[in-house]
Amino acid sequence: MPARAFSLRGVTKRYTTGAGEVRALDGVDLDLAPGEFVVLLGPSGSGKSTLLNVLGGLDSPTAGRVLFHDHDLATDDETARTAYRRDHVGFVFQFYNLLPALTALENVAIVAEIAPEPMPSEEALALVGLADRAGHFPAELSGGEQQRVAVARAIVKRPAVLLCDEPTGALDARTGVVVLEAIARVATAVGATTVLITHNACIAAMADRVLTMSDGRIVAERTNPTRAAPSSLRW
Amino acid sequence: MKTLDRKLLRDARRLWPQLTAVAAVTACGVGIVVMAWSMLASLAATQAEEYARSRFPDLFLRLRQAPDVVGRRLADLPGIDRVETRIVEEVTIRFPDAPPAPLSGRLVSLPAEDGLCLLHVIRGRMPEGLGREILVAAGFADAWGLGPGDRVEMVLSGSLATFTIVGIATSPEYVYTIPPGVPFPDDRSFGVFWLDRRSLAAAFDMEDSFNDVIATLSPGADARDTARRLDAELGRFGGLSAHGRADQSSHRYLVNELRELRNMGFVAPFIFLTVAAILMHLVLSRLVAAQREQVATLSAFGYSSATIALHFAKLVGLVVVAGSLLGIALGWWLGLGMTRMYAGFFRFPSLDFSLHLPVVAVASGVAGLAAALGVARALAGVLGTAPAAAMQPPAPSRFTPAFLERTGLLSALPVSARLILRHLEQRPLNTLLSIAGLSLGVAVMVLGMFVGDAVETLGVFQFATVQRFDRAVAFDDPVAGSALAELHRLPGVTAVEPYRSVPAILRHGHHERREAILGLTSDPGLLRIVDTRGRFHEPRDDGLVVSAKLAELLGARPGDSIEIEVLKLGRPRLTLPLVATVDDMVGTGAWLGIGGMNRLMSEQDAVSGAFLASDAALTHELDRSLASLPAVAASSSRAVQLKSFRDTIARTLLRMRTVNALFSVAIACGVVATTARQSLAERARDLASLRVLGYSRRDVSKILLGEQAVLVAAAIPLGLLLGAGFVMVATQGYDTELFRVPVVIRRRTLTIAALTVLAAAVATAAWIRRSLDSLDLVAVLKARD
Repeated sequence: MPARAFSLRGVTKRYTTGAGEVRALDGVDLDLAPGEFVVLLGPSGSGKSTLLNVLGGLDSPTAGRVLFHDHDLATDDETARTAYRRDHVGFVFQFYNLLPALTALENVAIVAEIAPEPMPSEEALALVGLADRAGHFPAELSGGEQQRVAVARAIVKRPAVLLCDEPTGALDARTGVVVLEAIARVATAVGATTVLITHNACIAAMADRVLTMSDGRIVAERTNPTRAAPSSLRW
Repeated sequence: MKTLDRKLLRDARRLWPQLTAVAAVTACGVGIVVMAWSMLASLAATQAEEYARSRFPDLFLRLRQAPDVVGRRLADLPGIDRVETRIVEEVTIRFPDAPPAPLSGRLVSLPAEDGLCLLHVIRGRMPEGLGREILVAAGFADAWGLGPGDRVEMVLSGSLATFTIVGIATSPEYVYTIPPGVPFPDDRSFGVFWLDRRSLAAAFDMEDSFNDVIATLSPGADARDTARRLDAELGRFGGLSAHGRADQSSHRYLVNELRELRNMGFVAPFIFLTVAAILMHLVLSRLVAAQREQVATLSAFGYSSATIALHFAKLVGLVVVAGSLLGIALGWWLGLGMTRMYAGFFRFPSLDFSLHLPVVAVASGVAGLAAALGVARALAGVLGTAPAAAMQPPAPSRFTPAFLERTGLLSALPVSARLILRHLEQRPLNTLLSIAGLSLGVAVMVLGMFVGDAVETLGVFQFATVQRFDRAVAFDDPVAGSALAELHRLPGVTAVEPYRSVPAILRHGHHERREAILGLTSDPGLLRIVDTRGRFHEPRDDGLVVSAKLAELLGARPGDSIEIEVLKLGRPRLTLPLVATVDDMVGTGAWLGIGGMNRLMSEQDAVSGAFLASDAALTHELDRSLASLPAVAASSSRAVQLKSFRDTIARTLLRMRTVNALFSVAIACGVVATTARQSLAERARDLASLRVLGYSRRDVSKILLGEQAVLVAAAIPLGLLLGAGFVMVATQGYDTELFRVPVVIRRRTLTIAALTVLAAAVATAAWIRRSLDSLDLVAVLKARD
């Protein structure tokens, strides 16, 4: 296994809006190790989501290199990025983005069906503690349960990369902890490099490394000597 | 089953109201095209088959009398393939149930077994032996309920003979029966019968001779040259100039009627299909656009654009296939019904309706293409956005005060009204699409019902404005004008206007037309020359006044000279100036003052017949008296002609109107329902938020339904205008020699179109209101689809 899962150099993302040019990312340099759990902190508009989108192949940078292992994602076209997402990336979003027409199990299966080596969808649901809710539709699940389905959906493909954008943002603290436990457990189980965005500084304690962003740059970085268990987190 | 396909089925179930409406609109568009086009193809195929089976002649010639030896020589003329000589005589008919007025008819000698113009006996049998057995044409038999075993009396050369009907037959020569001098087919006042040739010859002193010739052309032969040869051969026997199929009354009418049907059956359904296609496009593109976040999620997880496109294509395919199948079934069923009706109108031995596969393919293809484009357009919009952006809820639109508010006109508007106006104004595309869809619904209604207006206008014009007589009387041969005094003395007669009708060939440049020139009194009151604007024109003694359509067919303008070859012995040729054209609605008339006509014919005061006005209370007495006058060959009644018009043309056109109107109502309702439903789907979140914020159900309904009301109010006038446009397009081709359909849309049609759409809107509003009442606030806010 190579020492670096990701290697970003000079990654810049500019948007043009009515108000002028916005630098969402401004020359970001970053290395991520395989299996590493990283938490991204920072105020709104600091570039966290943009960085996550670039890592996940949802967006491409305006300038710079984004090496995933030895492959530069920055030069990929949409087809290649789609293949990259399909084969390597799991996403968890703040608002779950489950397909309302599908049951919990089917929401997981829809990803399993296009992944090269997925785990059984039932197993993924069991990993997040929802084996008994497999046949329920999103509308029949609580917010926390929906988010856990989203986590199961993200890891069913055994992704090399797990990207979570404010996964607890819409949840209360107790439910949030349950979801974080699920994330930590499955990330370890599949050995995924995990990047988790949050506004909640407490959550940083469960990471290997904590990065803080501001104005499109990484302005602070610290390494936790030990990772705290999600169940120990309080906010 | 793949999970994506399961999603598809569940989506289909969730979106059933919209999808059902789209499928229904598709079914209507496809159905009307399948019905109309397949029927046209079936009619054309039937005509071709029947003409071939029965050996329908290419040339026709009437003469006074020629010996059979002359007839036998005709087969040797260059250009002639087969030739048959016949005896054809005009007769007066009576039978027990017949009205008191004399019915006129035609007695034709039976064709030889391998001859031309073969008959098809649809009931009974062929006459056997010599004597008193005859066949009757199907149209007349149906009109009077005659059948095998019934007896008919005819006046033959002044003596009464009784015949027994043994069979009912059709002939390609009388697919339509059009009495001489009448613009429309009339199966009630004119009957055709067939009798064996020897008996017919004996009755009319025509032994070993003939007075009618029919012939087919050898391959490659020129019809005009061959006709000239026939004329040269038979001119000295009183030959009236041979003519081709184009001047054979039934064929001419049939061709024009098919053209008429094609215009109505081609253009209008095509507009329907196009409208259906546009609607599908609009609805489906909005439907897919509403699934923006789901598309983005699928894309984020690595589903390729192609897979996602295929997924939606399947959803749409489901709708298009279901709609098309339903449309094909509907079109087949209606086509069958329409064909049955036409079978009673076109006298073909059999009229089979069959689905024409190219038609089915084109109709379904257009529907499928429209749907595919709708989906493609919406997907391109969604997939064109990076998945990350697409997954965020769309950025809130930058709302500003609406135009009406900015003008200060509506400063004191309540919040709900402001919301309505701002929403409509800030999403101009959606607003325009909704208005476009609703106006198309109104417009197809106008188009669907317009035919009824046209028929009514045409009927009123012909039977109330042009023809004002109660009886038209025709004499056997022209008589002196003094004979009119006798008509004046008949019971109940209040006015008599003579006419002189002369069959002729009119020529201008290389154009020629066979017409009867009608000589009328100056300032005629019982048969008037009227243009579409209701202006009266007087016949002139110094030149021809002709229908603008006839002038067009002759390529002539006022001031041009028209060469006239009179179709009587000696075939005199004269030249008259064309002095005026009349933009009329029916037929291709040519008129002259009766004095001018007499001078032209070197006659003194000769008349062919007269138009009578009579006292309605004495009709029966008048008819009985007319029947007793030996000089009167035929008498026709305006009332009977009007009834024939209603039974034939009006009935077919109105049936088509009913079908079109039903389809248009379905389309209009479909549009209203889908538009409103889609608005609800797109705004459910906003409306739920308002409810959460404390708005009542009533307030929220007011906003959504108020928005719909504004859209409907804007769409109705626009739709009426658009409908008038559709009518103009559809009537472009309605201009035939038979009649010109006037573009007159009655207020009633416009009102019904507007009210139907309004009613559909109200019904949909009630339905939407129910959905709003059961809006699950939490679920709507939680689920973001």
